Amino acid sequence: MPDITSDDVHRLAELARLTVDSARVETLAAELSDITEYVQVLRSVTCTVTPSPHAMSSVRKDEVNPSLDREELLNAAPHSDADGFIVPRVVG
Amino acid sequence: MTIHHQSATQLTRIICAGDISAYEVTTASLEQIQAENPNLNAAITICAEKAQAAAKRLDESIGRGEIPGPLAGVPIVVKDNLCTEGVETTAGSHILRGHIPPFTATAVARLVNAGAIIVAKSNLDEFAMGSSTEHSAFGATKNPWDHTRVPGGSSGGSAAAVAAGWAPISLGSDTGGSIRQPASLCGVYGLKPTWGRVSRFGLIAFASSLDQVGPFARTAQDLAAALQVMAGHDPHDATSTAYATDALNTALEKDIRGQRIGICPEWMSGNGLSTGVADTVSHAIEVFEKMGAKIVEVTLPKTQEALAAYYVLAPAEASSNLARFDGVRFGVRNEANTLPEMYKSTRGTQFGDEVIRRILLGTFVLSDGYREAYYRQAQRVRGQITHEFESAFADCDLIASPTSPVIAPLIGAQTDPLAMYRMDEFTIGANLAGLPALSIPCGYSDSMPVGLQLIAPKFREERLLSIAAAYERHAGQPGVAS
Repeated sequence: MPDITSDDVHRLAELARLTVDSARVETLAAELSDITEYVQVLRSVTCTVTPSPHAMSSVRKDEVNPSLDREELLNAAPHSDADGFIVPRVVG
Repeated sequence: MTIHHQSATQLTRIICAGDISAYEVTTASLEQIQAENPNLNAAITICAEKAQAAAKRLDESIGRGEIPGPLAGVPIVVKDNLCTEGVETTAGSHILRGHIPPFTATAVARLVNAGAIIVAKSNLDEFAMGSSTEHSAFGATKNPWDHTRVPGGSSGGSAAAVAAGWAPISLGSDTGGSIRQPASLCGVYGLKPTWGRVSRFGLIAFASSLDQVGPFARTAQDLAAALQVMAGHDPHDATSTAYATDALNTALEKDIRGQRIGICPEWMSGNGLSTGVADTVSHAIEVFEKMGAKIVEVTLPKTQEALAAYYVLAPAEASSNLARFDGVRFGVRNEANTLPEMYKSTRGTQFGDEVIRRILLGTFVLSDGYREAYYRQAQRVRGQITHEFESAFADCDLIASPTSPVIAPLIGAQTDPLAMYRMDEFTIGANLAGLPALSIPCGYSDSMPVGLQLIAPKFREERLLSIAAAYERHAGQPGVAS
């Protein structure tokens, strides 16, 4: 498996939608390489069983119930008005 | 003894008998927290006014002759990644500074409905990612036994609060050992219930298939009382179960003679396990044997493989769960001209280093070209590990091991992320397999507490509590840190 390079860190940061401080890129690349090297042990494990996901105990009925207060939720946002959350303009 | 240092069960009894008011108990707890928190930094928010108001309401209700709940008047400390209506909930992150949730997590609400009073929200590694409570946007928490050492993590504030005597019960969350490891390092009980035993609704998700809410306490009885109240199905969490809790009631008095306790030699030596911890844990296991338990040798999954699977799967789930923190719906935003720039700037500067490291790692193991080799293989290994635990339980009723390989490290001593991750090597298996596990304070090494971990089959928490109660009858209750 390849080491994680500084370019990889930039690509991953772009995918994860976060900026990485340029002074941290090389350190992060080294740390992530160490971790991915450590987890190589997984490749040598012989697996004889098929993993089964956790089971859900029950599903709720598909019916309308009272939910959280709209105004309260909007108030919790950094920028909102009575109509919704406000974000930078995304179209024309 | 300070009033509020009594057990939860005892406090409720004397409050209901009218010997003391809930207000007096709450005030005593708050006074200690306010005096000690500037140094210990175990609380992010102290809920003084709300707690005293709740205590007054409870006293009035008892005065009217209403039947109080099983935890009436018990001060509790709640990890700050559990949502509390009207009380700031930060998950230890700058990105949630000032966030006031409009609802309360089910586990917390059940304790409050049982009469418990929230006195503080506790410090944690940011989004529960860490093993030392040094990775909090609100500074490091100190270990009450030695202020130069960490309390463990990520629920370090909750463990420290119970160890210091702030409250008899606190709540944490455990994704890879985040309740048991700090319980071990702070000398208190810490229980991670079976995945699905306690609702996760209102727990700010880190890795949903591994996360579980659970209690800290200084007596086995309090631990059982808290679990009893919190357990059960919650319509808001489809993965929570209605599995019966009857056995928890009788567990504490149960004779442990004939219980088969499994020991794996590879988990009792090497791997960075300190001699002091190994000796202390071995001594406690000898005590179990003297009390009539039968010690049997079992084969367990290799701890390195469990650790590796965890550090692929947990970051993968975290990278997805933490996508919701984008500066739009809650918390803090860095303003920018375009939406993508706003996301990137907010997330890049408001998340701490450890969170960013794990999001990037999770993004890597899920990315095209690597998903099969990392994520899917880790899932297969998880299945294998679960199977190996199930096989081990054919020969034993529970498994014993050290909780943490070492006593509490010095603050600032762990600079290598991998070295910190290795502190979870004995605890992670129970999360991967969804099993209940408990850390019991079992003695001291270099004057610092040592914890013994017990793991049981799914929904067999009563076995953990029986051993804990029996050991407590032999060794006495763990004391408040001094």
